[in-house]
Amino acid sequence: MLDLKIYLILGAILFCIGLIGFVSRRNMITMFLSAELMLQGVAINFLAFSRFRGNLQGQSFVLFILSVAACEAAIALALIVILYRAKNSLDVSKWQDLREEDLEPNEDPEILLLDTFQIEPMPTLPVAGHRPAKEEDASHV
Amino acid sequence: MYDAMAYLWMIPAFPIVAGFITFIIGPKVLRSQAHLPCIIAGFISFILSLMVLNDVVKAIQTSDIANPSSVAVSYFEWFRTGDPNLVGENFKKAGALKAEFSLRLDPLSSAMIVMVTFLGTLIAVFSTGYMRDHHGHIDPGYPRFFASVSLFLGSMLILVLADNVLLLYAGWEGVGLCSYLLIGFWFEKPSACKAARKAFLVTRLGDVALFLGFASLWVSSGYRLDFDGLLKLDNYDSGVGLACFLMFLGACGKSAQFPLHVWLPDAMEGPSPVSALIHAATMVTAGVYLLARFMPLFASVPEVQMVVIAVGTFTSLLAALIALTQTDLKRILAYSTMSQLGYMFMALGAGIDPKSALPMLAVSAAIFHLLTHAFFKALLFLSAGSVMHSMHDVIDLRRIGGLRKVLPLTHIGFLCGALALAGLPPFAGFWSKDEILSVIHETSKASNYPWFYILMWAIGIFVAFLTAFYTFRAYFLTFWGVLKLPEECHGEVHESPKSMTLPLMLLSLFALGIGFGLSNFTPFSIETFLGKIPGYVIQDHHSHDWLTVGFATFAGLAGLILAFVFYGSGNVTISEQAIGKSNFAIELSKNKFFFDEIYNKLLIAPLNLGFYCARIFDQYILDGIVDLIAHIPKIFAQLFRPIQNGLVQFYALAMILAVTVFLIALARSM
Amino acid sequence: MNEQPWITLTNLSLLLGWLAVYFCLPKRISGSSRLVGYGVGSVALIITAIQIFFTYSFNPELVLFCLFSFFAVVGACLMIVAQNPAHGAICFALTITSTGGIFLLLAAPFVMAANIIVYAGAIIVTFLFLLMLVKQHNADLADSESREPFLASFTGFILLGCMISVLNASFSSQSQLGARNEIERIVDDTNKALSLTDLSELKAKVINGDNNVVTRLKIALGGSGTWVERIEVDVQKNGTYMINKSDDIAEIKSALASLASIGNDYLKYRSLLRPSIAMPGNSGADPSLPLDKIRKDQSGRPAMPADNTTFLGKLLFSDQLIAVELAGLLLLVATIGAIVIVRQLPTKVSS
Repeated sequence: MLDLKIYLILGAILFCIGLIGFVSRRNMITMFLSAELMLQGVAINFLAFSRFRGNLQGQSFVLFILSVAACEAAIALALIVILYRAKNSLDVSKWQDLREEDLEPNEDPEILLLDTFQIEPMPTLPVAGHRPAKEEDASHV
Repeated sequence: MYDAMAYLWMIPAFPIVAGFITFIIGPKVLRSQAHLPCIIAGFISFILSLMVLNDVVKAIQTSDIANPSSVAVSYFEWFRTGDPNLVGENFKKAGALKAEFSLRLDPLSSAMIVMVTFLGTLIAVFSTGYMRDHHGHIDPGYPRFFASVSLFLGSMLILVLADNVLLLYAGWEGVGLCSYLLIGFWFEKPSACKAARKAFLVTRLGDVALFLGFASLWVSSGYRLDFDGLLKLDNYDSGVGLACFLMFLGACGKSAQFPLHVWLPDAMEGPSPVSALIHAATMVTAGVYLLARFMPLFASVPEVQMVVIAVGTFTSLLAALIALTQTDLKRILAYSTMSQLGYMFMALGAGIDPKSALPMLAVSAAIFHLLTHAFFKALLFLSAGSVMHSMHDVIDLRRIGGLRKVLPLTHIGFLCGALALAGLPPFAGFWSKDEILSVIHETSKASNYPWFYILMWAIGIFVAFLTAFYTFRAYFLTFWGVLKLPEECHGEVHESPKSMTLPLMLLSLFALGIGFGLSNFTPFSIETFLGKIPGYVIQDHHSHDWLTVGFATFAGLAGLILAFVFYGSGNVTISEQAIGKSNFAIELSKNKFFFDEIYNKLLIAPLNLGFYCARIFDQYILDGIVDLIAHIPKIFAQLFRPIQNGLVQFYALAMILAVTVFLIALARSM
Repeated sequence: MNEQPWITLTNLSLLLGWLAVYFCLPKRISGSSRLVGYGVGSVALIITAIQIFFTYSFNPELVLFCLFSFFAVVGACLMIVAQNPAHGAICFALTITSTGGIFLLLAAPFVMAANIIVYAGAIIVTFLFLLMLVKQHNADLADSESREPFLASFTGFILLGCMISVLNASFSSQSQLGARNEIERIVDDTNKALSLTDLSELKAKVINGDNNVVTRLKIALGGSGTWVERIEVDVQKNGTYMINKSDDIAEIKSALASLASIGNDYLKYRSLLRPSIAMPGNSGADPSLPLDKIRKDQSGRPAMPADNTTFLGKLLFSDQLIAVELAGLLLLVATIGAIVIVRQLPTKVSS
């Protein structure tokens, strides 16, 4: 017999994964999908409680979550479209105009801990018989 | 009670309502017809004033005026202060300050309101022409002008009709405000702004003294505000002298007497009708009216009266001397106004010994001169305005001349005014001026210091000579000689429009006739009329002081002839010499005896130093402390400001961290 | 708080999960770290599966649960690490379908259907349309980099760990056992008190201020017991109480007897407790009922209304009618809003 706890843990896992995605990804569409993922976790929570309380309140609540998510999707996608048109990019980092006046825009410094598995890309040879592409600097010399 | 009491309140109410109407709908709705409310209200008030005057005259003839308390009427309670339950007799009286909107109708106020409404209406009509350019386009501030004039008329009428000192003070401040607004009417001119500010501030000094005077009257009269209570000498134990002196200082400010006279010449920056109405005929005579109103009190303190007459004499002499060499037509008239006001103060200062008829004579002489002066000086100013209008705002006597032919109607008006001002028989100024000199002569007989009053009398006659001289100097320079036009005219001159010349003609008639009309030789004698003011001792028989009459007439004629010789005879060399000559006395006169400079050095420079110190203190010490305090939170904020980096994801991360911290706390507590 | 060891299998799998997500997230310099992430993630999943299989008895539900949740979690992880948003959307669809299975396990077939239709059907398709609209030809920098991957994944997993530990603490069998023991102890106490023949012991208990006994007696007698108050008054006044009246003793004895019979009944019928509460209205059990008073089905879990869709519809259109209307209004507003938002900007841009 499965109990309430394991369902709640599953909901929590989905919620947290969505959270990580929302916080770390810079593509607005991926961020939005992550938010929807968080809603899925919440929905599982509601349904589990509904199941283990023996009534339908949680299920009806999930239906409302669904409708709100649909509205959210409509508005958010519309917003994403116009944001994309304004900056021609889906990068959410291009929208940080509300920062304090004298702050430099965030250049996204990454903490490169544990990046010891980096492997330099292998040097690739050009196809034989073709002149290799010039380096850009060379044209100025 | 007069029948007129029922509608007395409408006399000030009409112009005030008209003023507010013009202020509100003038700029958008009335536009070029903005003069209508003002003129209509002024005219209605004038008709009502005539009805009131008729009522008063009838009451005098039936001797219905015996009961002094019947001359005042209270319409409603204005305000009330204090707690009547205070302990102590004086506190009770002082605490229960109660001011009513009450008006007073007696010969003095009725004469004043007729004069004010008549001149106001006439000058408003004149202004409809004056405030347009030669193509008939109105001045941009046209509605504002007439709104201010309306308000001025209302305030002035309240001033002269008021029956308690608070209401009088309200009217006093009202006319001061309107004067400020109208002097600074062309506020885009820096000089006009400066002049307006100067007028307002200098008269403010006087107003403070006046208010203190009223306060000390209130206290020493046993907390009375109404004139009935204030004018009874029995009510006072002491303090009348101080109160009278303070009130006289206030009157000095408003009427441009010696220490506070510097604002009036600068006030000519306003439009000429304003100079005529406010700074010649009505507002500046408020001081004279005040002293006339309180004459029973002033008469009881001869020391103050000596100060009054001394200041009046000095001012009239000073102003006449300055006027001798001025070259600005309006400025000459302004100094002449000062001089004539000094004359009125001389008359008022002659009223000593309340048990004799002298106070009554002094008041009637002063008010007589006030009325005649109002008419002929308004006439002179309007004529000057007409000249100015035709000459494209040039009234420098060195640049104009010989206008007799091109401006015939203006010339006649100015000539009538000049004759009246010079005091030549039988024009208006002659009668009133002689009245004043006679009163002084009379007083010298009754006083303990006869030589003092004789000296004043002599100076008065000398001033009469100077008056005739400078008046006709201005007249001859403007209208006689070779035709000289400023280049602004481009050779074209035409007489002013009818709306300007008609009032001039009407006023000319008055300037010629009013003196004789109100003299003791006619049934409309102003002396008999004003003698009916309650509380005065009436002189039974009239004795004419032929000595004074002779001297004064001679002085006037002498001035006229001298001016003709210098400026009117066409003898260029004498004129040139007279104008071009420069010695110490003439420099002194040209520079107005350096009063502005002296005031600047003695009063304004130390004050400026003080202001500078205060500014330094404020800017560097007070502001420094405040800025220092303001910097402390700023430094703290500097630590946390980078959090606000505008990244949505950063905010979300912060939120999650906070939730995590709470969850950890929850987990530990389970 | 019960002392729990820090190094548990759960925490280990959390740690591994964190590392897996961190390695998989797109980074500026991404080499083969993604492969490492996959490996570590697999280890974490295997550990978790082992844990689950050891905790719960084997039955079909468990198998299905594991299957669905595996796909849901894997889909979710792949979605957040996908460099191509289109791949992310497909992974999200996988997650949605798997969650649908979970919904079925939770006896919510209608919600499952609605969820799949709305998400996998509508939203994902709209996403794909959107991706087509914005036409990202080349891979954007935004896709190949993530913001603070280390901090973000660390925070997420710390949060997850907190949630799991809180859940563990509240669902631990110890705390349930504790509650059961408390009831048994009370009944035992009462029985013991009833069996006392020597009153001095009871007296000693009362006088020495064993509050539990006095309070329980008071509760059993409805709080208005005459002699209990007398005892308290006497104790306060004299510091002692002499039971010397026979009717007092009889009263105490009868009160204790009734108390003990209630307790014994509870212990006897506890496992069979099925209060005759009908399924109220449309929504199932009354939410205010205690958990153990809810009607159970054969498997020992709360009974759900049999016809899910019918009852859900009845509930929505009776008890929650206004909420449904408001949700409909919200959808309408969102539709209009979306149209307005998208229409506005082109004019601005063109101008």
